[in-house]
Amino acid sequence: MTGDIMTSGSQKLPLAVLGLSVAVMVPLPFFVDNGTMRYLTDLFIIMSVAQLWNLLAGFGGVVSIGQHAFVGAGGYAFFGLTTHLGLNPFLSMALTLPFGALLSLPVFAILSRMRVAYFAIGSWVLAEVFMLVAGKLPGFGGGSGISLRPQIVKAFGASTSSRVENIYWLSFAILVLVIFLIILVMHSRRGYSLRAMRDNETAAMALGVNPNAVKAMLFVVSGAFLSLLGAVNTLQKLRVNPSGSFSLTDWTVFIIFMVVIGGMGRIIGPIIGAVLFVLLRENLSGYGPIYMIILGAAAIGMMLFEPGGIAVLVQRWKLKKAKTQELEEA
Amino acid sequence: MKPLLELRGVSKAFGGIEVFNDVSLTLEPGARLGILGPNGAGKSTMFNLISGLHRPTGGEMLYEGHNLGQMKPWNACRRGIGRTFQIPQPFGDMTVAENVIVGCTSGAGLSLHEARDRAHDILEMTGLGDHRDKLAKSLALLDLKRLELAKAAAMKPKLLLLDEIAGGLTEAECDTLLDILQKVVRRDTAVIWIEHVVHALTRFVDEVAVLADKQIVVRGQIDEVLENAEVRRLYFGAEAEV
Ligand SMILES: Nc1ncnc2c1ncn2[C@@H]1O[C@H](COP(=O)(O)OP(=O)(O)OP(=O)(O)O)[C@@H](O)[C@H]1O
Ligand SMILES: [Mg+2]
Repeated sequence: MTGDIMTSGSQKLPLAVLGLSVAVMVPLPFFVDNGTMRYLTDLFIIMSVAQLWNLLAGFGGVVSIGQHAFVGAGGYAFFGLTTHLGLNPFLSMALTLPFGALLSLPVFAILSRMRVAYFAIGSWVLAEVFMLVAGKLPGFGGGSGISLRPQIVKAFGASTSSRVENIYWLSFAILVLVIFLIILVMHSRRGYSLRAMRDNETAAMALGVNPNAVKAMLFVVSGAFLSLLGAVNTLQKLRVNPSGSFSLTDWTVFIIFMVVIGGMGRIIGPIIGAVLFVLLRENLSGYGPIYMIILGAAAIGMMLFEPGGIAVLVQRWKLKKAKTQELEEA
Repeated sequence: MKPLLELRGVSKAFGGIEVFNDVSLTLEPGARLGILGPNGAGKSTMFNLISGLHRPTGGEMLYEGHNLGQMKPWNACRRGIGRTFQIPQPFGDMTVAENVIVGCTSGAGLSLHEARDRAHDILEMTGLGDHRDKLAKSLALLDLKRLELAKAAAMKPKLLLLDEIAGGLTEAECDTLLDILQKVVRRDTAVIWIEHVVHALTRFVDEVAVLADKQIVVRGQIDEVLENAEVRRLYFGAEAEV
């Protein structure tokens, strides 16, 4: 029993959960209505975004508050590739991956010159710039945005219900892929460098770890997939618009809440956090701004009380239960 | 023979405070040099310069002919400079074996598979075999020091920098440490060992140098250096453990 919460625990559990959820989620569209599927699609998308934020901040110690830049840019790229360049919609969607990866390189080059706090603020400022540029781009509907052409949307399913099904499967596949990729990264050579860097950057450097190269890799992976998720989101919303596609609240603030509540640096964290978030949203959104205050207070409370989030609280509770059992047996 | 490491008139200041201003030193491949010097003389700082963690304020530092003064720490490591830290710097949330694997993969460029094998061997040699699956943060100080050595030795460095690895050890523990050193340090590895525990040094190094008064004041065979009146005044007035 070692390396528990951080390593072995976080690989066995998600693999089992991953297998089980694939078995449940894949055939689900045959049993539930469109509304439920849309709801779950939404959950898968934010869960993936949360996984990617956790990959950066939780696993890599790279705190960005501007990752919504990539979600928005991916959405706009998808729109531009399909509508303006007339590319095949599937190809366009796939191309948002390398697009996001390429875009993240100059962004990282700029941000990596800044120290921790400035990195965060710089990432946010850059995201704002992206949004302003998106609102000025000719052919993208300016500040109010623009809808996808029906034939592009129809490529993903002729009828509404087949489309809802397909986007559901697509977003679930992306979520599984993202989780799988993170597990793979964490168990690669780079994963070791990453964990070493997070534990002790100076010692890691003296042992041959180049922190910037590790962080750049994380940034590129997350930028690529956020961009793809932005494309899926565009398909789900049927339109791009600066404030929605580049929403700081949806793609960064809420996401940070999910990761912090669920547990940073663990695969299971963003899963718990995202589920909790959509449940809270459903039950509290009627209260308006109070809902945001409750979320904020919960996140701050969690950071003060248990920075490891619910994942660690559950772990602790299990350990305690196991210990009492041992005592009773003895 | 071409020197492995060459420092020429190296100086280092933090802000306005000068630690040393004229350190010159050459080291042949495979040579073993001990460094003595009073507390605060700048011995650890010298290691920080050689391993690329700090930049010298002046002078020249060459390693295999490359300019060390501009080299990033990870590149210095990949070119074969391994070091331990005076205050152990474990990767606390990784297991003992994983700590060593980092050096083997990032530092020595081994595949994960090869790295696991080498980590296994080194941990056996350093007496950490039983702790391999423990989190590094749970180790006691003595084991943490061994882990420092294991991490640095696992990458098979050409130059190994040891910073007070024998400090605070009992006589018996010191003997064990020397046995371990003989096992893990290959004969062709050059070593610079900073140590206050002179009797440990004498059993391992060929020569010693004394860093004091902002420079290397004397270098030579260990008995000669210990006889040196200047050294006695500078250093052993304070804290001899001979
Ligand atoms: N990062 C730093 N910033 C500022 N001053 C430093 C830094 N590192 C070391 N110093 C100072 O440089 C001087 C030399 O420190 P150093 O640790 O190199 O001494 P040392 O010879 O290793 O001593 P000891 O025998 O106690 O380990 C000390 O006065 C110390 O306070
Ligand atoms: Mg020192």
